[in-house]
Amino acid sequence: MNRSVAVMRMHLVDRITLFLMPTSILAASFAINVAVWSLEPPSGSRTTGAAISVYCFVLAAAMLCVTRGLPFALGMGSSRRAFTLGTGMTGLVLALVMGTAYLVLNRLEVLTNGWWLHGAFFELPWFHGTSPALLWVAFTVAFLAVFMLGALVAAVWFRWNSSLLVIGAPATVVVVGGGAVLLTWRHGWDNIWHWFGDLTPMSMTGWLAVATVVFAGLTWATLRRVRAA
Amino acid sequence: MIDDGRPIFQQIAEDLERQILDGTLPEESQAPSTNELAAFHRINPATAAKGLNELVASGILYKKRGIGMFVSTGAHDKVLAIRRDDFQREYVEPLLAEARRLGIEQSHLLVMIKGGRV
Amino acid sequence: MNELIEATNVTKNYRGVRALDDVTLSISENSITGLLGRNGAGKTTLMSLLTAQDFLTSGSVKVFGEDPLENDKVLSRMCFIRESQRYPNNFKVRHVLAAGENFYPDWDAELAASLVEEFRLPAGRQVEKLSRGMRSSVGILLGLASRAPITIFDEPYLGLDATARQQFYDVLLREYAENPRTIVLSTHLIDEVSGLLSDVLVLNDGRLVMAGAADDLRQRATVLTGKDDRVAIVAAGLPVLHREALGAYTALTVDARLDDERRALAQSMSVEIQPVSLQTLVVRAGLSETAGAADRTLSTIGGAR
Repeated sequence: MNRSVAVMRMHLVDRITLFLMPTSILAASFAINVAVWSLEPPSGSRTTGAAISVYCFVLAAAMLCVTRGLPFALGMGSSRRAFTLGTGMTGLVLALVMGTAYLVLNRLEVLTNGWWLHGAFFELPWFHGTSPALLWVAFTVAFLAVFMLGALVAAVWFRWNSSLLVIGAPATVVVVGGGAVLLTWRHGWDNIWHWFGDLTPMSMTGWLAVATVVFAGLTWATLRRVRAA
Repeated sequence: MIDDGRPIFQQIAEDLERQILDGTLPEESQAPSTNELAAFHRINPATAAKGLNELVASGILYKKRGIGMFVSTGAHDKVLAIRRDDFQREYVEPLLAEARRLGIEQSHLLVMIKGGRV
Repeated sequence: MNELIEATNVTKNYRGVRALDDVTLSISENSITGLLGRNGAGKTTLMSLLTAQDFLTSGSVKVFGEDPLENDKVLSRMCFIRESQRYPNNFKVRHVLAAGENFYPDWDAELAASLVEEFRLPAGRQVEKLSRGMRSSVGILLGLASRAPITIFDEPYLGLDATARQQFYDVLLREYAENPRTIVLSTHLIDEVSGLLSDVLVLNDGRLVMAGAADDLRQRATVLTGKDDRVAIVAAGLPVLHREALGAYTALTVDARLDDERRALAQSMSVEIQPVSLQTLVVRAGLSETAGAADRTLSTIGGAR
């Protein structure tokens, strides 16, 4: 266990970059939105999806944690198991911090009536009526799911990088393309849009939690036979 | 100072013997420690220790518990005796062999050794 | 001495290429072992297998008596610094030190700080942006300060000049004298390190061709120089490692130490006797096996262990 803690502390050793980066990304996209809102006449929708930027950051951070952290951690006598656990713990810490920050900002946005501009940055119309507790869980689980997805992509890349380009990329195109053709042929798209339309913050969080577990399992399955070279 | 064609521990022992012989290391003085020798010659401490132990085995150095190695009383004469024994094999025999090869007669050789011109 | 690392019949294939072929070796506690051989001889592969960073095709590896694979108890006592060790993306030198301290319970922060100074490392600079030589220094620092009971360096001084390398040897010896531990060092610069080594392993084409105490190898082979027929008489019955000829004048490297009788014979026949340095011996062992004669003698060297 303390080997996993060592891995987590390794990932978190550069705290300044790790928390300064998302803060500045968020501040920048927020500032742009506020500027746009204050210039525009107050008609029309003021909902923005810019809050997703930090999710993108977490995705990238997870990928770097694996691709750059793994060869170093193995050199420092860490097992693959300790690395995977420690990286997952890092994701959890990041998700808790980011999720909490998002909840605080969401509450502030509601209190200030959209930063006095009727903006919807952290409080999307879709959330209306969701309790703060569930919202906090929803933000956090979403961050964790994105982190584990990043870790999984990076793990797959790390383990099969050379053959991935040759076999993996065309195979993905075939599977995704084939799936799309199949859906169109079976008139499945409507069902899919319905499924998405019916999602509530609660059910989506449930699905993301399932996805997190699946991503984590696949990440371990990939990393447990990875070779560092 | 250290050449790579012979065991280093042997060269370390010979080096210390030379120091005893020329008085750099007087009798009853403390010999350099393993780590000092290792750092000085940039060699593995185990090798330096082996060189020192070689001299302990032949009675040239002795151990004082907890302090280190010291040069034995009589070490100078002992080294001298060993070196004198080696002198014939290491210097005289090759000299004679080379003289034979060059066709120098023994009488001529003796004159040369005495410093005369032939 | 206690054998800390034991590899038995280790074979490793990469996509049909045999990187290591039935290698059996052991590394004893508190030795400084030189892993020598040409590029592509299998040194890095061997070190990756000993640290369980790679998977065996067949054979077994035991470290501290246990299989190192996914074994935290074993791995936490090992540190492996690669030739081109990668560091997490935005890690500055001081981050590397902080991370090292997390991983190793015996981490020597004082030594780390003094080496930052000694190697003139900029603590606030990103490691991946440092020069090749400085990155090597970071690796050396990490390995030494880790105080890991088994510390493995793969070509640790790429990009370091002669002065910096001497500095490394001095620091290594100082640290080793104060805190003896097991060090494995792969290197091309045999002449420079040969004095530091207590033991030597030589790989060639994925096979172990020579192994033993450095001092034993130093007195192992002899070069005989003189007229070919006389050299042949002196060398009669001795295994030949290498032969070079200039007309009738021959330099013959034999895998043997001459006894007094042969020495006297050589002297009387005007055959000159010279010792073979470790470097030359390793070069002879590492020569390509295309020449049939060399092949045979090489196998006799390997078989001696």
